[in-house]
Amino acid sequence: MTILDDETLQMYVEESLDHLADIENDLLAIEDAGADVDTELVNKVFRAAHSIKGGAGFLGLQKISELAHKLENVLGMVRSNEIVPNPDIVNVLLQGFDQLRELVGDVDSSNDADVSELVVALTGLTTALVPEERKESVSQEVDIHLGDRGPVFTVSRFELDEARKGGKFLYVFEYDLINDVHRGGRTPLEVLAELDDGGQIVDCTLDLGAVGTLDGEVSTRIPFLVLYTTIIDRDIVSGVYGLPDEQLHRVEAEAIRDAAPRPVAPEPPRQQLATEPVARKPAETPAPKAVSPESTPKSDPPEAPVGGGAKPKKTTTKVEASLRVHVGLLDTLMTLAGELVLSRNQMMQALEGGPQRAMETVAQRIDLITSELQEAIMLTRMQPVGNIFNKFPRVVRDLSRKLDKLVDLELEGTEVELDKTIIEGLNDPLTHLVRNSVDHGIEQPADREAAGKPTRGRVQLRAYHEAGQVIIEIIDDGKGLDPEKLATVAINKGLLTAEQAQAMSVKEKSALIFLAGFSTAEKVTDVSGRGVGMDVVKTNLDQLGGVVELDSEVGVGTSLRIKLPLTLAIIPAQMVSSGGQAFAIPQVNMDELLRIPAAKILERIERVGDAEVVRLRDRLLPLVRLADVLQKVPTFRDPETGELKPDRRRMVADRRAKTSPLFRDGEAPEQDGAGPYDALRTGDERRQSSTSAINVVVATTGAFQYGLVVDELLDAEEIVVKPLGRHLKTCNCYAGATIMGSGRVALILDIPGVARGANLFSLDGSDRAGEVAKEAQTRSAHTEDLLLFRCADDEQFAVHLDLVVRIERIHSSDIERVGARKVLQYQGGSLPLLSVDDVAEVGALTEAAERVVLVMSVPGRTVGLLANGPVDAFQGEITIDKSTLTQPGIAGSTIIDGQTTLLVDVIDIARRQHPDWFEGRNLAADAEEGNATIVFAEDSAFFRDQVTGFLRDAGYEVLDFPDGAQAWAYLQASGAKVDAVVTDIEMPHMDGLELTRNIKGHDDLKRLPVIAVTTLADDEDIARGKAAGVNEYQIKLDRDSLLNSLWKLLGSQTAA
Amino acid sequence: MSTIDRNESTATVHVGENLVASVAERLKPELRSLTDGGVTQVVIDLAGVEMLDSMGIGLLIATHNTLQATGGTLTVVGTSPEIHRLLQTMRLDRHFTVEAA
Repeated sequence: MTILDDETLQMYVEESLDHLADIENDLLAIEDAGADVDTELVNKVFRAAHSIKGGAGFLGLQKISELAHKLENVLGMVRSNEIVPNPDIVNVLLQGFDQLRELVGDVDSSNDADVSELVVALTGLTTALVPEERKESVSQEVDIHLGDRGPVFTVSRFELDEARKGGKFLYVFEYDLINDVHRGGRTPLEVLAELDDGGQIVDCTLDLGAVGTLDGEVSTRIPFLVLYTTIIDRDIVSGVYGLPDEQLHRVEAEAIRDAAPRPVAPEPPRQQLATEPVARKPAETPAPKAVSPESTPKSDPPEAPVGGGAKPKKTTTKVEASLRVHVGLLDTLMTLAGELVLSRNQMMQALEGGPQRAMETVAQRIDLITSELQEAIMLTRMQPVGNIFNKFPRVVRDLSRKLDKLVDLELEGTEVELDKTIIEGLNDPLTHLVRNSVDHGIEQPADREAAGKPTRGRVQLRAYHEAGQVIIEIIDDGKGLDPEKLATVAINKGLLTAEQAQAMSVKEKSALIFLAGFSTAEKVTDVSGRGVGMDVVKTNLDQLGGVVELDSEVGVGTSLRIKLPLTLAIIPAQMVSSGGQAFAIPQVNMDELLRIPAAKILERIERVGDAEVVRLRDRLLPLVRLADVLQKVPTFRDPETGELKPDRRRMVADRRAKTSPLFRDGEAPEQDGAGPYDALRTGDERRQSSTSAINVVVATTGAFQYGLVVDELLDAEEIVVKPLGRHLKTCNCYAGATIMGSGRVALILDIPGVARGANLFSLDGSDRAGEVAKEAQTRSAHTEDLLLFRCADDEQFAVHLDLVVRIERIHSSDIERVGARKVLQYQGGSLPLLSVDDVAEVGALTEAAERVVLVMSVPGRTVGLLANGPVDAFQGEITIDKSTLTQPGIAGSTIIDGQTTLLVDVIDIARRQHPDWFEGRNLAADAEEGNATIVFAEDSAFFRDQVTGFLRDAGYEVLDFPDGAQAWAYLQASGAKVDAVVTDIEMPHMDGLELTRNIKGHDDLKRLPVIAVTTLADDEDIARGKAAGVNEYQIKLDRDSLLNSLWKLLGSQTAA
Repeated sequence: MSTIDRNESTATVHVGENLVASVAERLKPELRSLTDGGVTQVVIDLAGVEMLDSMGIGLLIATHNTLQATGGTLTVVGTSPEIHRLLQTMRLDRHFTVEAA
């Protein structure tokens, strides 16, 4: 027979693959259940084999049919408890279904496939396992005699016995298709369906001779005999099948007689009338008894179908061309399409001169429907990740059997859906990773026991959603990766120098396994060795837009985390521009965005070694300028005209230096050289302009992060990914292209590719990161405690926590106004209220029913500072910019968590609002025109700047030091020039008390007056200070008292 | 409607409608005139045929029997999956060639 209809064939293939999809796990469950057979489950597998066989017969796929038939036989015996599905038997079954799947997958050449060995194995299984006395039945044939009519059927005894199991009765039904069927208003098809429902048709035959030829009259008789087994009793069978009693024959044992031996005919003879026995090829190829379960290929690699000596068959992994979609989803699509048509009609109407509003409504509608339509269409591509997860129980089972390990596999989140393309692409890398976990991760049971672990190893496969992405984790509790060993291997292979290795973090060493060329040679271990190294896994995942991270602890286990986009077709991306062109960066590759204001560039961006890095919290990231990698001229947007202009800045850190690490190949332009950018270096300086801010995208490849400097940060958009044309395929920097809302094309950046383009590897980066991390640690001693709050909602302010006494929540209605001043009834008195916007030019305090009042002490009194939430605490190192944003009431600014924060000078606000409070207090200081030199030690940059500021304003020379030790070093060297010392008490390295003792114990220096400034000054502190030799105690930021005190002490000193 | 293509000793009968009693009755004389007229290879095309009743089966068998007597062959083509299964179960495919649609 030929295959005539592609569509029918395609349907058959799909249906069969569907049937086969779950079989593996079902078989494993059958194996687990052992002798305690779950009939329902076995039936399910049996039916699958059965329907595959049926279809194959119809389509003329002999090999598939043959194999399915044999599988069915074995399953039948399992079902009737004749054989116990032990691992060996299940192995053969699994292999059988494996090959079946392969045959179905490549249906066109299935008839040329060689299934003989497996067929023999399966037949052997049935013969070997059937009880001795039944062994022969497989190849033995019997005749069924009907009364004195002689044999009417000839069947294999084995098949007959199989069909009669479970106490079924054997009947011969004698139909006449004319009288019993046609006259009864039924069709033969209905009759067969009825028979199928109630039992099993073993064989049937039509009496062709009785029909006559075309010459005669219309035939009156078409006898049709059916050999049938059913559990239905003789008493009622007539009623059930609507046949007269005399046409129903119960076949008794004596009617079954051994068939006379016949020569084996190669082909079943065709022209055979039913009146004479049908000579038929024996139903089974004589089963070679040699094939016992022990000799079934237990030691073969589990993937290898039992192909015998046949040439290795190329595995054609066909990409499925069709897809099963839920009808409900299709309905939704139809509805949406209908809506769209309606909207189009509306739009046509509106265009024909409707009011503007109508057009807007339509536009909105279309917008909405388009989004929904897009979503629904996307859903059609979504497939549960279980599609691939479900094959792993088999993989793990086979592998652990082979390696003599005990491994449990846990699946979680199989319902999580991913785009079909991604699901398909995940198959290979996941298989490899799971195999690795079992092969290299989980230890032998004995080793596990010795290590105090449960003997059964555990591999978890989990999928879940996180932040719009899908995370897949492969976790094992095996021996983990030894980072040192990995590093050694990498060094031996010349992938890494010993110095580089030394500078690497544990995580980076673990990630070495992903390096190309790392895992090729040792990969020939029997199991995991399939010529696929971990680098290939990583490359595969990269292609899917995935990011893989590895975490491992020696002796505890390894966990791999794969971050995947939900779909490849539409991805969220950040649009950026460089050189006047837009680019898209997939969100999956992006951790955060940094905007470094011009004033911060020098602090945040540093040169370490030969590269530029940006400081990001506790780490340093290597910087890559996108324009350089793409060899474009960077641009900036002119703040006045909004035009794009070429950006002349060459280096982000040290913008006027002569060389930049961002120039490669020694082409760094000399200051007045012929570099391409020097010609541009004309016109106004814009170093101080706000547009000089640097935009950095913190990009991640999974293994490492880097900062990508771009010209502008544009919107975040959902982009539709278009493949690149062939001519751009060699550009490693791009992963694809997209069309933006404006209709322009934007290229999608390939983040690892850009890093390669910049010759940036994580190894180099980590070198530097290590150095600077150390540096950062030593500095972190100088932390500030700030309280963050808001006034207008969009501006962040900070005061030093030390100045805040309490935080109160009040209702706005509690605030009383007395003239221009505001007060609050507080603790039995009235608390004067201040607000930042009273004196500073900042956004007005946002109206709110609830307010926060920061109760603070200023010299001589307590005031309340009105604020809006959220009130937050910040602890960390800050750098204060005292110039850019300083104004009345604002002492300076800093960046906290990426946000500009204004530091509030409460005393200044109080002074400006209530000059009367300070009357008489600052006269002394104003009178002093001292050029006296003061050494000031203070670890808090905030207080240091504040105090230094007002001391300088009062006319003193101030030398400030961040700790006592540095101040002391200076005093020892040049103490003679100093007139007084102001010191904080709590400081690192040398505290204020020790500094004072040193001064007072030094012959030349003990003359110096020492003023201790502190936020806390209880009696005990003062006593300890006095004991150390402190002349005066002052509260920090009480400018007037401090100045008064200085004036007094210096005056007395000069007087003395 | 049924059509018949004849080419010397080969004829193809496109049944084109459900092969039930009435159709079988009508086709029977036509088939007979074919076999009488020297046609030995008869192809019955069941494409588009969804139902085959007992009389239809009778017609197929009668045609087969007639042809067999003269050394000719019957081939049934274009069977739908259901009809194919029917002919297969009845073991008719052992007597004449049955090809799927």
